[in-house]
Amino acid sequence: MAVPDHVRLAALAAFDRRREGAVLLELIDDTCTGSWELHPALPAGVTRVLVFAGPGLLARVSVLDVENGQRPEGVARLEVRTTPEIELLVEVLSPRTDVSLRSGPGSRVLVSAPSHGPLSMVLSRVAAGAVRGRDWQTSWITL
Amino acid sequence: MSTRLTPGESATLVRDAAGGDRHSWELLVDSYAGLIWTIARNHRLGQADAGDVSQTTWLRLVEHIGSIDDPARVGAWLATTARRECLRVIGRGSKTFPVADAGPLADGRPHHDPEIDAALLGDERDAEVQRALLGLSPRCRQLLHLLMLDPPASYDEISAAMGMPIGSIGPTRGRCLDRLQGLLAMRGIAEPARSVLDGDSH
Repeated sequence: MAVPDHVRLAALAAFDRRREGAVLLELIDDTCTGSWELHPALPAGVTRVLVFAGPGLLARVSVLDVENGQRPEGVARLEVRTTPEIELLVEVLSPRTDVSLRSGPGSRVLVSAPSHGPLSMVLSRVAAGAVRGRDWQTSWITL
Repeated sequence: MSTRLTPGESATLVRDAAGGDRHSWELLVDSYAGLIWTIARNHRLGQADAGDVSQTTWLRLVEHIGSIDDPARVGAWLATTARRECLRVIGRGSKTFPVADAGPLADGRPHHDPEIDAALLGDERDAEVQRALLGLSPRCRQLLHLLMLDPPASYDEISAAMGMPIGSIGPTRGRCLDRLQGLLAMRGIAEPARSVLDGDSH
């Protein structure tokens, strides 16, 4: 089956998405595909929750519902929280855009992300006004 | 055009790409992009979803390229990753149901029923059938979609993708087909044969 050119080019471009030194946070739960009977009901205003985990950190990413009935087309709003709770900077990586979307610092960070295509988040710990230690990076997912 | 690699060649390319060699990565893409694309399309994903599955699979390889247990079998690793991503996309809820390409509603065994083919796959009924399918719950649509893949998803895969106990799949399939049968009847489409709905042994 012939592979479309844009698909091949996207595969080649993936090589440039390596983030040296970041600690990988693997996706361990997703309310969209997990055991639905065991998931508690989502809070009001939340349409999906993804949980990533890696050495030293668990990150919970909530996909938020539209705000006041309006949201720019193709944009999702995400809330990022961690366990243990730390001050974070969150950077969204997406092959769909060259713009690097970054939000924070805070222990509960709201960030915008493309609602289509693969995305990954880089989490940086902030202490005393500066980034400390190695970054974490979530596994690539699609919303 | 894909290049068939020996296991040794695959292992070398994986190790070199992990070390930052871009040309090795390009050779891996040229060798396995067709495999991933075929898997995505065989899951009846549209072009956009198939493209996302492909890109996510390659990005996952970038994440793990330095830690794959058996680099010589990177093709199998890519195929498994792509398939899991396809099931995740399906689990999110497909916007359309691929009626035109649907195979028999089998539970993994070779099974062909001309009556359900006629009821579901007739060209002149596609629009009505699509509307009937949209009348099902999202979980019924997901389940029937997985059962209609080529090859059909196994009950283990369905259980993992939908978080449904394996023992529930057969009875749920039956309820979904009963519901679909009722919706089709409301649209004047002849009922599928009862033999397709009976006998869920798996």
